[in-house]
Amino acid sequence: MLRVALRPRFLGLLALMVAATVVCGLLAGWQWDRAHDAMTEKADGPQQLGDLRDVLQVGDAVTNEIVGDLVTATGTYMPGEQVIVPGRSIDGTEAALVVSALRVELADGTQVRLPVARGWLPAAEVTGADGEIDPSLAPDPPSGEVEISGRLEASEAATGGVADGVADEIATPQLVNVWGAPMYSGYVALETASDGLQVLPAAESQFSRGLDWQNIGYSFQWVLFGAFFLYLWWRSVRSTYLDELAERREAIEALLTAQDGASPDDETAPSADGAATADGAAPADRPNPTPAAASAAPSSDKDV
Amino acid sequence: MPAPRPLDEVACRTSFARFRVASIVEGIALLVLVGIMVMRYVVFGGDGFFTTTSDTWTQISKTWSPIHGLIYMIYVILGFDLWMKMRWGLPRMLLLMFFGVVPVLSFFGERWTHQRVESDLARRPTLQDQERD
Repeated sequence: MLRVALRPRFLGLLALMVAATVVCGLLAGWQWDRAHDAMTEKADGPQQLGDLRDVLQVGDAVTNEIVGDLVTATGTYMPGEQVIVPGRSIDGTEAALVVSALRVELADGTQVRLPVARGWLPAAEVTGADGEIDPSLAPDPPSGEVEISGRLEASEAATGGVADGVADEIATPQLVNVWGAPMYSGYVALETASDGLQVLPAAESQFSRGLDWQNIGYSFQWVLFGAFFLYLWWRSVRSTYLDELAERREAIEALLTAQDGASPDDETAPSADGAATADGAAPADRPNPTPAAASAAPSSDKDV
Repeated sequence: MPAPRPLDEVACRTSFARFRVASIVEGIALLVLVGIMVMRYVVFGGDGFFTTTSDTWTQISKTWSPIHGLIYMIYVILGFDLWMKMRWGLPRMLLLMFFGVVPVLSFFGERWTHQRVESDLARRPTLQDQERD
């Protein structure tokens, strides 16, 4: 079989197949890296990105690349623009988040609102005597210009609305209706809490921070494709080899039949006799080469 | 030049019937994929290359792409089966795989393959020929 494989034709095809396999290998590596993207990017922990105005444009989404990283912002809290987001559970405590609007001035003088999650407090502390959440019980934000620092988070998906200072989520599409535009499309969760509030844990975002198993799957698919090309080559070498082997055997059998069938006094095929011995198959090795056995096709071409 | 090995005509025809169905399904699946790509990147295209403004078409595209990938793999496997049964050379296997990746080509490729199957079965000896003798 090796001699068949070393023919120029098959060597050329092998070069082609190896090239295809190498391409598949590169594509597998690319998918492998993509699967680890989120992991490697977030492996070093949150990055300090500096001033929010240099990080995020108004209207741009908070992407996986920057979510959870630290930013700073300078501005004034808007009096009266504050919502309570109850119904959260933090460390087993029923919690209510306090979100206030920070007015930030951009370089061109535009006033932009940034939702700031100042922290959380037990829901009991903001529950009024009637058992309902009372937003007026939440601590007011500090007045005057402040500099804040915190984690940049993506807006939560809006399911409910904002009513009487109580919201179901920190959702900028809802808050912009209450507080007004323009507004950043994400929010900042403060690093250090004050005014009797506690620091918010990192949001459980829908972005994946671990392995992307879909990309891992694609990576293995490319490996399979690469192996398939090599298998194709081996398969064509093998079938060529087996075909040639079967042809040689049939040729020998045909010669032997002709020899046996010929009457001793009618030597019409001396050249055939010579060819058979030259091929190394002695007539005595064949116990019963009847014409029927010779004309029947080999029962299987799988193995010879 | 020795006579080529006999083909199994029944097995070849069965394999071709399967491959023909796979060709047509793959051809349609690829056209659907192209349609989705056009909607995602051209009709609802963003400013840059390969950017989009439509979440709906992104979602449709993300759903259909792996399904199409699976259909193509089945197509390749059935093409490989036919290729083995017909005892064709290696370049023809690559050609069969190529038919599946160019939109619309798989329909013509299927007809071309059908002609090759028919002419090879007529020209080359088959197991069934020997039974008829």
